[in-house]
Formats: sequence, C-alpha cells, structure tokens
Amino acid sequence: MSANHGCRTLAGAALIGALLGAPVALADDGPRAPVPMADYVRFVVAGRELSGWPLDPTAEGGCALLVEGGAIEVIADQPPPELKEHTARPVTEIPSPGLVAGLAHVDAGVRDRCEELLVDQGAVALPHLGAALDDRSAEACRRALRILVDQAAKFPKPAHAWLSRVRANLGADDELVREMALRAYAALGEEDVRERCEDALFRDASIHVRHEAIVQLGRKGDLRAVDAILKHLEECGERSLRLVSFDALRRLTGRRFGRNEEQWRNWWSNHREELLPPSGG
Amino acid sequence: MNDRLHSSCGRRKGGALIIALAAAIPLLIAGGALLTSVTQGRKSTETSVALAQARDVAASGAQDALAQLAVNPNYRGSYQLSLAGPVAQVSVTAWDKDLVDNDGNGMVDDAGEAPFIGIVSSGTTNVAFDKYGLEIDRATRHARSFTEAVVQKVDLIVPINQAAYIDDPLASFKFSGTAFLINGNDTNLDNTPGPQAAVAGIGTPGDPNDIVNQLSKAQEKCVIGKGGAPSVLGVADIDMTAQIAAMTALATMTWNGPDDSYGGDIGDRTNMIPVVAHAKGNLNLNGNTNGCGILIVDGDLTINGSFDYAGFIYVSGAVTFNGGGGNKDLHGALLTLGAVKGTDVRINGTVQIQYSSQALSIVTSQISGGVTLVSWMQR
Repeated sequence: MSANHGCRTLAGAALIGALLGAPVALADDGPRAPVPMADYVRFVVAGRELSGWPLDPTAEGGCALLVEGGAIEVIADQPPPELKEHTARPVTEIPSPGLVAGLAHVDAGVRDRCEELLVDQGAVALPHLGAALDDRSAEACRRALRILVDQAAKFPKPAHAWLSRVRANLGADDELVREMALRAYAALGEEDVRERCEDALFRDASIHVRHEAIVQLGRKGDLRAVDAILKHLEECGERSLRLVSFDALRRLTGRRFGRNEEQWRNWWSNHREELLPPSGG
Repeated sequence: MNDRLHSSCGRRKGGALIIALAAAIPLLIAGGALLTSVTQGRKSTETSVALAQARDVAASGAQDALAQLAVNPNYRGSYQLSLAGPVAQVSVTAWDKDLVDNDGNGMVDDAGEAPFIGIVSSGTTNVAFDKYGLEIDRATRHARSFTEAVVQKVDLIVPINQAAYIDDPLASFKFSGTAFLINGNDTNLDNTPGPQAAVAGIGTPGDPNDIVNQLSKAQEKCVIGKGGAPSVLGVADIDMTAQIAAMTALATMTWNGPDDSYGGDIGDRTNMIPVVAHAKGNLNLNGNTNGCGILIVDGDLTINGSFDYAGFIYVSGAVTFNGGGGNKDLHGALLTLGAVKGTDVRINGTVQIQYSSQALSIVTSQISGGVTLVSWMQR
C-alpha cells in the first residue's frame, strides 16, 4: 500500500514536473521556418485516460489541460495522475478553437498560455479568432485583437479577413478593447488609419484610447497628423498624453524639440506649408 | 674775349648746380617717404606681434583656468600667469556669487546661475604689474586682449529608485517568454549582493497597474525587487529631458545620423572606464557590444547580438531587446520614455536589467566633478 502510494505520488510529481517545465521547443523543419513545439501528455487519473496539451499546471484546483476534443479540463492533484506519455508535438496540432475559447478562461495562466500558443500557431490560428472577437468577454476580445496585431505583418491576408470585426470593436464598450482595436486597425494598414485615430483622439473619453491614437499617429508617418496632435496638446494636461505627443511629433518630423510645446508650434507654423502637400492644407 | 669765355663758363656751372639740386629734392622726398613707410611698417608689425602675443596669453590664461578647474572644480579666485614676457590676469568666478545677473533673467545670483562658472583672462604685452595686479608701467608698444569663457559644473547626482524607469505609465509592453529578469535588488558587478536596499524592478511616475497588467502570470516572477514580484511601483517623476540635456554636453562619442548602427565598445567595460555616448537619432547595436558609462539615445534603441553594459542608459524613444545573438546584460539603470510600435520593451532571449549601485557609483564618480565648456569668446 505504502509502496503503491509512493509510486503514484512519484508519477504525479513527474507529470506536474513535466507540465511545470512545459518548454516550447523548436523543431528543425529543413529549410522552412522552424515549427514551435508544445508539450503533449497522456495519463490516467482515477481510472480515466486523458490526453492533451497542458496549459497551466498551477491553475486553481489543479492542472489545466486542453484535451484532444478541444475542451479545457482542470485535473486535480489528488489522486495523482499516472503519466503514460510525455512528448513534444507541433503547436499546429493543437485545436485552435479550444485555444480561442481559452482566451476567456477564468484562470489567467490559462488565458496567457492559450494566447501564446495561438501566436505560435501563426496563420493556422487566425481563421478561428472570430469567436473571441465577438466574445462578450472583453478580456478574450482584447487578447484576440492583440494576436491580430502580432500576426498582421506576417500573415496579412488571413489577418485582414477580420477587418470588419476589428472595425466594429473600435466602438466597443470596454476602453481596453477599443484601444487594442485601434492598434489592430493600424496594424492591418487601412488607408483611413489617420482619420480613425484623429476621430478617437477628439471623441473618445478614454485616456487609453487617446494614448493609442497618438502613438499610431506618430508611427504612420503622415505629416497631416501634426495638426491634430498640436491641436490636442492645446488643452491636454495629462502627462502621459503629452509625453507620447512629443514623441509622436519627433517620429513624424525627425526634429528634436523635446517637450517644448512652444518650439514645436513655432517650427510647425514656419514649415507647415512647405512640408504639407497642397491637398493637406 | 677771355672774360666773356670765363663768364659763360661760370653761368654753366651755376645752372648745373641748380639742376643737381632740383634733381636731389625728389630723391630726398622719396627717401624720406620710404623711411617713414618702413618705420610705420615696423611699428605696425610690432603692434601686431604685441597684439598676437596678448591674444595668445589671454587664451593661455583661460585654458590654464580650465585645467585648474579640471583638477579642482571648486577653484575660485584670481591669479597672474606670466609667459616669458606677456602676462595674463586670470579670474575664475562663480556666477551665483558675483552679484551680477549673468543669465539676464532679472534675478541676481539665482539658482539658475549656480551651475556656471565664469573665466575672464586679460592678456597683456609690455605692461608691467605690481604684485597686486595693478598696472604700473607700459611701453610704447603694448597690447591687451580678453578671453571670456563660461563653463558648467557637472554634478552627476542621479537618484535611482528602480532598475528600469518607464516615463510613460501608459506605455505598452511586449514581453516574450520568461527568459528575462528585471531586478531591483542591488547586485555587484560580480553578481554578489550589493550594499544598497532593494529598489523597484520597474518604476513609473503614475499608476503602475497599466504595466503590471501587461505582464503574464508566468512573467510576474521576472520582475523582482522592492515589494516582491512583480516589482512594479510608482516612483517620483524624473526630469529625463533635463538630465539628458546636462549629460549630452559631456558626450565624447556621438552618432549624428537619424538611424545609426554600431557594434563595438562604448567605454571600457573590462576596466570600468566610462564614456558618455550620445546618439542623436535611433541607434541599433549589432554584434558584440560592451560598454561602461552613460548611453543617451534621442530616438529608439534596438539591441541585437550580445550586450554587456555597466552604467546608465537614457532613451527618449523606445527600447527593443531582440532575441538571439547572446546575453543582454545591463548593470545599472535603464531610463526610457517607453513607446514603440505598441511593443515598447520587447524582450526575447536572455535579458537582464540589473540594478547595481556599484556600477552606477563607479560611473558617476568618474564622470561627475568635472566642468564642460559652454562658451568661449576672444576680443
């Protein structure tokens, strides 16, 4: 009895140890880009065989596992599971819909891991993001948008398929969703990014959204944004917004007037006509 | 007959004399003019030489004062410098103690004048002075010239309350994986515990929650220091603009382009000999970069390859640590605005931002205490 218990405990400890390590290895796939790998486990617990991909070994109540069918189960530590297999498999084998559903999971570790794995899946995951982009959970929606931001440059075509959902999220109730939607919209490279950002800058009450609008205006290289940034600065007392505004002006113009608003205004009034195309006036 | 002949001969002689005299007068005038010209030319040359000597000695006096201040930044006073004939009267005066409104802001000896020191060097040639510096005699050929310089004291007192200071609390972050450490626990260069109390891993002058919320659950243990993990705390606002402005004046290594790349040493990391380096645009560090001192980047800093730096890094834009190419270690403190492409501090691979009071102390003690030249005028 005692020996058997010790053996089971050892197996359980091995499983937890394996899950805790949970390294993502990179498999050499010839001349192509290496495919990220993820831990895959098969074990028996309370007479029931389970297999899948561990998501968070420290989740509340035990170890969170994405099982083969795509559901997320939390496996209790007791009785200790008996580990049958522990291998590394390509992340592309993980059911993406299950990971997308995991973006709204109650456990933060699960949400983090699902997001990481979806990013690692690359183009494979993108067609499944719709569920999260429509999710009532602001957290899931924000994470899905962040994945789009990460992947838009690498996989523009499947990312662009979600443009209408991203656009819809620009008007979401949650300010952090709107912030991330604006970032995603800019990452998708739409032509009216400047107009959208300027609209958010002057109409959105959220400091996070306005901050993001200024950041994106500064990165798009469109000098017409200088007018909007300087106009917004006139009545802006928020320290963060002012800092990011000066940074945006530096990025747009290449000038270094630091945080001296008056110098920026003087320089712009002297050079606006020569730098802006006639249509920008 | 003879009388007529004699009379005729005498008239001829008188005429020749008149002709000779008439011919000699222009020659005498020309000779006199030539003599006057030569005399004046010599006088002018002697004056020029005297003036040049006066200028040289005035400049030498000011340079001597600079050298004195380099050795002893607290030196103030007046002295006479004699250079085998020409003499410089040199005075070194603190702007905040000279009863003059040096900066023209309407206030005498105000705080704004405190960092500045004025140097006035009066150079003279062929002028004799008594032991009190009063003029007692001057030769006909004498000259005087002035050199006025203004220097700024370098008081490098940078209180550090965090390993990484993020000026914008709303900055977005992208941390990849968990192979990074932002450590506010004081650690010496040999990785032994340092003498100072722990500071924040990340400090920001505002609500730290916006930064905390961008760390994944697994990454929270990667930001340690005061207050436990994740050690992200609100700290006092640092006037980065003013600090950067003061330090760029000390730069001996500069990149002037809008987007420069560099790989190599920035100071002597092995022997801990610091330099102040200043990039006026974006700076991309590639290959193996080792350094010691103060690195100031007016744009974005991107670190590729391996990186081992001891001291301060100031970045007006964003910082990106790209993965691969070796470890990236900073012993000291990072101060950044924190804004770039939505991923302001991207950390891949093995990255350590490690608060080290030892490294910062070595750098500040070697760089501070000196003076930098602000202006130089000669008349």
